Amino acid sequence: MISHRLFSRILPLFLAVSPLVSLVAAPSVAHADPATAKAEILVMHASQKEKGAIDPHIGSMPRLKQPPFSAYNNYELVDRKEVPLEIGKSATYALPNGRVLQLTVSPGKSPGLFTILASIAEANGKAALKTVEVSAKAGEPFFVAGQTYKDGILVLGIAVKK
Amino acid sequence: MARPAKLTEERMLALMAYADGEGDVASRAEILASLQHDPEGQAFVASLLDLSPFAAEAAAVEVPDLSGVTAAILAATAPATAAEKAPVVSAPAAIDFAAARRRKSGWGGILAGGLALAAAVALYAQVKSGAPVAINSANSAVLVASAAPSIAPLASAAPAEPSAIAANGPPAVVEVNRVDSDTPVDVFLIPAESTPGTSVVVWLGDDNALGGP
Repeated sequence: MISHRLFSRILPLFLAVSPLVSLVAAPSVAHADPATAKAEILVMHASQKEKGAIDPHIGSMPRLKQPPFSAYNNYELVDRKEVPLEIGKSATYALPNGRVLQLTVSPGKSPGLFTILASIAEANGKAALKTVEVSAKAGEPFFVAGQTYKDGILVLGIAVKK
Repeated sequence: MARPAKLTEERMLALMAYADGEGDVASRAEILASLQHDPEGQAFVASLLDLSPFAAEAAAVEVPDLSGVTAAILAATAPATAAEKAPVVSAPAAIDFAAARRRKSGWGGILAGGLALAAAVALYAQVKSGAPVAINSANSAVLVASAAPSIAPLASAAPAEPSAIAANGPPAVVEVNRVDSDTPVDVFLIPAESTPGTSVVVWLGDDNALGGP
C-alpha cells in the first residue's frame, strides 16, 4: 500500500513529468493524417527522334535514359502542375490528349504513405485506364505511360505529398 | 537505337547473388575472378551496390533499347504446378497485386517477380505473389505483370525460380495494389527517386502508340 508520505512525494514528481510526457506524445499527434494533400503531376511527351534529347525543363531525371523509358529517346516537358487534393475526394486534371486524369488519395497503412487511385477517362467518359491503385511514400512519384500523343506517347509522373 | 552488348540474364542473376553476398566461398571466388575481365559485369555490380539514380547514371554502361521486348509475364495468381499444366491462362482485365500478396503471404512475404536489368540500373522485382515469373532474357526491363483484357495469356511461359535477390532487394516505396484496364497493361519496377527502393511504371498499351517498351 502506498503511504500518504510516499504518495505526496510521487504526486509532485508525476505533475512535473506529465508535461514532458505530453511533449513526447505530441509527435504521434503530428503524424495524424492530414485532411489535404497535393499531387505534383509531371506531363512529358516521349518520342523517338534521330537526335533525341531530354528537355532541360524536366529537370534531372536519369531514369528517362533507363528502361522502360529508354524505349523513347526524346522527352519534352508538356506541363507540370500541383493539384490540391482533399483526402478521400477525387480531383481531376485535364491531360493534353483530351483525356482526364482523376486522382483520389487516402491515407496509407502507415504514416507517410498514401494510397492513390488513378484513372484516365476519354472526353466521352469512357475509361482509358479504369483504375490503378498504388501505395506510395509521400513525395515519391510513380508513372503512367503509353497513351498516344502526337508522334509518341505521354508519360505522366505523379507524386502525392502533404 | 544501338543495341550494345549486354549481360545475359543468367550472368546478371549470378552477379546479383554475388552483390547480395550470397553463395559459398568457392562460387563467390569464381565470380570475383570472372569479374576481373568483365567491365560490364563490374559496372553492373557497382550499380547494384549503389542504387541511387545519380550513381546509376554515372555508371559507364550503355543501356540497351527495349524495342524487342515481347513478354515477361507474371502469373499473379496461379501456383507453379498449375502454370505448368495449363500454360495459357486467360488474363483478367484487372491485376490485383494486393490480393495476390495476401494469398501468398505464407510464402514469406516478398518473392521475386523477375530481374533483367539495364546495365546502368538495377530493377528489383518485388512481386510478393510467390507465383512463377517468366522474363524475356533478351530484354533489360523488369516487367512484373502484363495483362490484356481478353486474349493475351497471363502465364504462358515456363515458371522460373523466384529470385532470392529480389526477395532481399530494397523495399518498395511505391507499390502497385491493383490495375484495372480495358487495354493491355504492363507494370514495370524501377528504382525509386528519393530513397533506395522501387517505384512503378504502369505502361498502357494504347492504340497507335509507338510500340512502347
